[in-house]
Amino acid sequence: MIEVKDIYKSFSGNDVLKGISGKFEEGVTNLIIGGSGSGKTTLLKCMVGLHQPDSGSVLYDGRDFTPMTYEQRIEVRKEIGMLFQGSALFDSMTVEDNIMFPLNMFTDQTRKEKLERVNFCLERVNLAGKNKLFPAELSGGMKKRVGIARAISMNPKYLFCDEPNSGLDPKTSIVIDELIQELTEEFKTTTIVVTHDMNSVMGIGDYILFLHEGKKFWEGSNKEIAHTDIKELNDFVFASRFMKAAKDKF
Amino acid sequence: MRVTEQIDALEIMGINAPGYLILPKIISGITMVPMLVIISMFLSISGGYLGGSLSGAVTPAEYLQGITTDFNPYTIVVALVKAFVFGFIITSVPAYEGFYVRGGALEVSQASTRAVVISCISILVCDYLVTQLLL
Repeated sequence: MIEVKDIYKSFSGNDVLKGISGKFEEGVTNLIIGGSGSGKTTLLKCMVGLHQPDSGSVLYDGRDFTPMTYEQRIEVRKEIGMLFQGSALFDSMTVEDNIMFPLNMFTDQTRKEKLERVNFCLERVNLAGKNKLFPAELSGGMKKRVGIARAISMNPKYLFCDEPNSGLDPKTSIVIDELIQELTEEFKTTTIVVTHDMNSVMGIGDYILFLHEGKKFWEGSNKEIAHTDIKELNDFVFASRFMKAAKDKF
Repeated sequence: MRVTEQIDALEIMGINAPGYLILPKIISGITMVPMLVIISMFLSISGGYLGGSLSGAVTPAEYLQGITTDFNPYTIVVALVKAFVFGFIITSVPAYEGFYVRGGALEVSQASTRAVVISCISILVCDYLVTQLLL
């Protein structure tokens, strides 16, 4: 479980996060949603230590991450897998080398064992046999899936996904969402997905934290999100004509 | 790499990104540039010897006398010290600029230009300083 308590973060006097708190349970898909500039990616980066919060704490199963030394953070980070918005695959490495990279750095497995793990991860994301391709030879959806395979290669306890559907067509987005949810349930990871994609919200949002202008406005599940009277949340959820039409119909 | 979040990915994996990305470049620069200087010294001297001898411009004995007369071995030490310093500059400055560049294609090209300019000026300044200190 990951818990954030009263996180504040500002950049050059501009307050981006204003006292965010929330609990993200393991084995369920937790979503952080909000409009552009609401602070969701900043919150994610504070959680993984790419930004240092001005105040507040981030607890990984009770371990406070924010005051940790660099060496202590490395130990926690070995339990973290992350899928970046642009996949962040290493361009000069093949798919196989990308997935094997964390295994090379942190395990003393034999090459055969590492290769077995790579093949398992690739099969799990439905990319078996694509070992020798380079990132430039992959489509956007395939890159995301390789990114997920790399993220799960070390069997992480915590999985972070930063806008996993950005730049993908609706069908591929659903494939990625379902894959994230399946992996979360299969490996019992604490999964946190930052998104503003309403298909993801309705499809995989077991727990949803809604941010607006750096503040937490609402938390709940995808079953509850369409039935609130919070104006900011309704403006976000029913921004598209399709969602408005769906709301009017049902 | 930072622009495409690859450095963030390294940090999330728990890898010391500067140590992993910059240190090998600096080590290779400070070892290989002096090696290149040694190789270039050997090739230029032996090339001159062969060229002079084969063309008949100078005899081998005259050539050897020419390059050994008033030869000061200390200049080799100075050359290698300069090679070490230049090797450090031409690897560390671009690596620093590349590591901390933010933005997109425009910022990357600006960082490349800045790296070349700072490297060139640093080499000129260090060349002067090393010469003043050692000679």
